[in-house]
Amino acid sequence: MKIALREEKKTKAAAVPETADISGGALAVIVPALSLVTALSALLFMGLLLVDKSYDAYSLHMLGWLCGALLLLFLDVYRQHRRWDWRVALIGVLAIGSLLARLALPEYFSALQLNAAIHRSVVSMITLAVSALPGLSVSLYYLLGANPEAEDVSRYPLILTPIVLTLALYLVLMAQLFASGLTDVNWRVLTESYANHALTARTLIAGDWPTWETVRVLRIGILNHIAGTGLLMLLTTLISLPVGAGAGVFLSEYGKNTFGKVARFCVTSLRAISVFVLSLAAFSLAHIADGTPLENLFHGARFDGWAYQPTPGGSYLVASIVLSMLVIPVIARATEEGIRSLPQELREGSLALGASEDHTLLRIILPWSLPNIITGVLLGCIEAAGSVAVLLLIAGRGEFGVGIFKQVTSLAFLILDTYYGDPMFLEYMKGAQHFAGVLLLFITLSLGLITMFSRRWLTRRFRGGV
Amino acid sequence: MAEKAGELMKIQPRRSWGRTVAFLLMLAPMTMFVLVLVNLILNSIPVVTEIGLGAVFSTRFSSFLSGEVYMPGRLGLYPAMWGTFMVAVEALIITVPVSLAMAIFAQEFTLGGMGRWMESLLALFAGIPPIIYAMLSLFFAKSFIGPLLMGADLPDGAIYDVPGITGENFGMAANLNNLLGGIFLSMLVIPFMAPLILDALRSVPASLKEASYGLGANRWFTLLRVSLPSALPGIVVAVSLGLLKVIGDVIISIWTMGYGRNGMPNPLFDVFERTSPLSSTGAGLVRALAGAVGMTMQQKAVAYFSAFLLLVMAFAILGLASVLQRRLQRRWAK
Repeated sequence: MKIALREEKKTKAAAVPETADISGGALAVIVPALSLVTALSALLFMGLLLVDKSYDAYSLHMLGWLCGALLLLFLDVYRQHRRWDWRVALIGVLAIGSLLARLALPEYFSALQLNAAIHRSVVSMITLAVSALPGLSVSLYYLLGANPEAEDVSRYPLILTPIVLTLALYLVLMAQLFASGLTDVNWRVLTESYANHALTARTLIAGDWPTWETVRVLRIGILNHIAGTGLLMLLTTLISLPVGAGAGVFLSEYGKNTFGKVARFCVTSLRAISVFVLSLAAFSLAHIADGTPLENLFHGARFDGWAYQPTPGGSYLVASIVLSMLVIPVIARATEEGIRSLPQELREGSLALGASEDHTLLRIILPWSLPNIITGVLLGCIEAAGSVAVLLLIAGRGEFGVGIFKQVTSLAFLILDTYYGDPMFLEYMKGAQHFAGVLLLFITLSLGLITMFSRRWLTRRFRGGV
Repeated sequence: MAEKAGELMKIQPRRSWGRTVAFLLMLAPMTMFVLVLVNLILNSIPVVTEIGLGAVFSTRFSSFLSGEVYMPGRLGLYPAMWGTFMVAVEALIITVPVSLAMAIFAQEFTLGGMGRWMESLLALFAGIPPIIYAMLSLFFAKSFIGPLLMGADLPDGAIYDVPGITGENFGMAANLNNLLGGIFLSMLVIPFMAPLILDALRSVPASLKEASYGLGANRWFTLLRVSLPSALPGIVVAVSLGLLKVIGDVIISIWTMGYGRNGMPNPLFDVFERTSPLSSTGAGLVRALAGAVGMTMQQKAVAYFSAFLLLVMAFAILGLASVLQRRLQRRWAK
């Protein structure tokens, strides 16, 4: 009611005719155009500042010019319209603000003696953006004739500038990653699996007793990391697909009672807990069976020539169980969404024809939600391939092979390891660290592309093109 | 007779194994969640019994990493909590306007068909794992911050040597600072948050917008006065989910903000100092000490306790968001 009253007031205020005599003549075009050009070049300088700090000397000049142009615009607009509204006020505030910034910035920098260049550039950038962006928008508005359509058009700079800056950041950085990764391409590294350890080997010399000697194995490659990523994806899918789909079915079909509410809270909370909590959970799960015969299964075993010894980390099984905690909520949500989109007629038709609840579930509900489930599984695969936090405390270098009960490793962990590992490992992997990043990016992006493009095909296949 | 009729009338539901299987499968994630909680709480009990909450809630933290001698009392987590708070604020300042702009561009202010492209691009970027952003932060340090730093004399606080991350690895010295973390956590969160905001904008009833257009409002007015207020509950939830991602992330935090810190930054809001958040402090404690030295029970307990604090924060954010969402929805319904 209150809002309705307020709206009424607003419409009444809007009904007062504006004194729209745009009789500014040539000045009404020249002044906004001038401030538009000034604001644009100020934004350009802001972009240049991102690349080179030496431009920050010019930012003061740009602020001065901007202040002048905005002041002119302010006077011109007031001359034309002869009335105060928030736009005129905004221009005035911007002009005075940029003047104050122009005057205060040198004092600020010289007084603080802060970490000079970086601080100065960042502050100049922010000041320029804050005064230039609204200035650009307002001058565009007056240049285009100060009508509602012009207002729509004049808001594009406000929306586009952050988008362009952000996308530029993404694309420039990724291009650099690709450039440095593709110079690293090395087929030998790609087809060997890493190994750097000592083995006790039995050598038989003819006519003598068998002797034991220590053999040092050193191979440099990332094949085991790639295979580990694949195995991790596979195991995680195997665990989380039935559980996630079952949970989704339960929540949407049978979850209307109190137990359903508790279950929903648990699944939502699994989505909400941070990956750091999960990395500690993986650490605890790996150490859960210490001192029992099952130790090897949880820790991942290595064969040192004599016997199987537990590694300090965790096995693929542990990692994929914890990863599935991340993936189950995703699949459950996708399943729920799929079931929610099932037309009521299909379900009722099936029940009316005498099909049992189970038959309806298997033949109607699950096939209908299959596209969503598959999308959820693909998203889960991306998560499993890229997650390092879960592996952070349990992963190793995969020197002892890839298997369910071996120590876990993956491409994503390799990247962390090449920067945080010991100096020798860094030396060995120097040619592969950026290549591993490019490979991981390629895997996740192609899985994302498959997700995007398969959705339409799956919908046509399982829902008859609905 | 009456008894028999009653028996006949009783409808026996057919045994449904689908229900049983779904129920059993539902138990798995619930058990997981409960076990994770129990694990956290059991392991952080020594914080109360042996270290004392006073030691944990202090600003003194010896990182054990930079060659410091281990001192039993120095396990204060206040600097880390402050780091989490600062990073969350920085990420909010960056992500909310950018995600809003992206969602608005994809839904309301499309330039031809470019809005649709924006949506696909976001869906593609959403799959990029955090470790890639952590790598990108090095390139950022080289290509954006690097030129800015050339020839500048840095204060003492700006360069830190964290063992394991030597200066050479990072190219341009160690640019470990809080702002870098904020920027790259926002890069992680933007492709996640913008589609959620887009969904919220999409769910605004078309009748509301059409009424607004019909009354002669332009697109900007409709967006500000109709679409955004109506989508506000959804936007609040999207922002809170993004915030959860920010405070919980480990990898980007370790790469951009390091492991741990003794004492608060000075001045308090200095984003150019290395004030590492809770998540990377805890993970660094466990990771650095698990393999090499062997960790004491106290350090392990503090690591688990920091995770517990994070969990409490996450639930507080979620609860706050859902309360806000309900109130906003009620206001809009009136």
